[in-house]
Amino acid sequence: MAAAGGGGKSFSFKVVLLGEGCVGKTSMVLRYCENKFNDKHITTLQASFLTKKLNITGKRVNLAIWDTAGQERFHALGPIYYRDSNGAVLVYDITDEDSFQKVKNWVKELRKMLGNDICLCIVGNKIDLDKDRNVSTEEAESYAASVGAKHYRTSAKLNSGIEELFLDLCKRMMEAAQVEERSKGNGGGQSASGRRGVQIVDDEPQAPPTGGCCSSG
Amino acid sequence: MHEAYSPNKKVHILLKICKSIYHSMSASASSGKTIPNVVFGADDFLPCLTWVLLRSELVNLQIDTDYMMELLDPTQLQGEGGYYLTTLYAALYYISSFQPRLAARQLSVEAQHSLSQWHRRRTLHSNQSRHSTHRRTIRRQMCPEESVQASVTESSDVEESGEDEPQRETESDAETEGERQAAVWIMDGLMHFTYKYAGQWGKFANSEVCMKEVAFFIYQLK
Repeated sequence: MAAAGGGGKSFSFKVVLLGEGCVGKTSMVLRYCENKFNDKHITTLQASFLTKKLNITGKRVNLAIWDTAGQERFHALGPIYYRDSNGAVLVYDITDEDSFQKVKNWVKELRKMLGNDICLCIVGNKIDLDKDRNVSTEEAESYAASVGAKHYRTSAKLNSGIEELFLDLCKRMMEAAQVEERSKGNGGGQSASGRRGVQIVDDEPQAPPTGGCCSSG
Repeated sequence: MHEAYSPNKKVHILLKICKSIYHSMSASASSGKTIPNVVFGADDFLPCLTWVLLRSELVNLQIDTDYMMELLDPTQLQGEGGYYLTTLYAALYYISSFQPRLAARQLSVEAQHSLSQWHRRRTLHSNQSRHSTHRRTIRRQMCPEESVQASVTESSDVEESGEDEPQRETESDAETEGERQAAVWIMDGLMHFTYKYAGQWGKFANSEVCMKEVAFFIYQLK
């Protein structure tokens, strides 16, 4: 997928944030990255593009988080941003039914354009405003399951659920990357579908070493 | 940016530009007595970048963008440079695919509002200037009885001297309507543009403002 350069054991993932304006995309990602880099807080960076370095089961993961403009008039620009993404975080506001509809539209579009290569997370933000809830958790969860996405509940204000969301997403993206790697190793290579020009240079973690003829460095 | 030869340098300059746009965004936000240290995401940045591009009259930008996108190192396309290059591309795409017809449809609320404001302003003014002797002369000369209203409205363009009054009217009218307002009118051969954004009024007058630009800005304020 999109793991480029680096040592043998590092992943680079691109994650795109989608969702209507004012659902809290920016606050969410800011909360996520700010907590980690508390001391050297945003001096040059702004919240549109943020990176985060993680260490998951001994693997280095570089996460590049791309924020998008959520206003309806910029909807057409979506493909420019989400092309080549490994994961998408689709955010809606639990108090706003429309924003959940927008998420459904995004899911349809992403599945159409990128197929199943992309890990989807559907995120109900602002759970601190539960008393004004307009989107039921059950509905959102069953929808997420029906499209092969996972559903999360977060609050950027209270900083709840965000860490888990990104950690889980990373793990899923790593799995997806390894599956693709394996299929490449077996000489398939078709699933990479040309669009993903970059291949992962990475060893299998603990899974049985099935192929890996062209991969190991 | 066009001067630089290597795509790397161009991207470097692009990042500097983006940084200064963020700077001015933060500066204007904090001067508007909103929360200090606002951090902007793409929701705010993309419209601002688009606006800056429209105002900047950079003709070579499209080709520079293509140049960078084609020649930049793929690993860099994943990074911050890649992100802002993508944003630049998106803004350019947005401008180039901008359809006046489509805009007119989405614009309509603001446009109609500003037009009605404009109409009210002009008719109000013409009522006042009807008392002037000069005006009466014109009226007598041009249209003896019925079509008074039309001729007065038209000729009041010439008569106006200060812009304070219509300005004030716009403000008081708009204040009640909401947070973001804009109005365009033509006076003394100049296009005047007044807008309210984030609680602050601003204005400019320019004879060279092209319609597309103004249309976009009103649109953006929505």
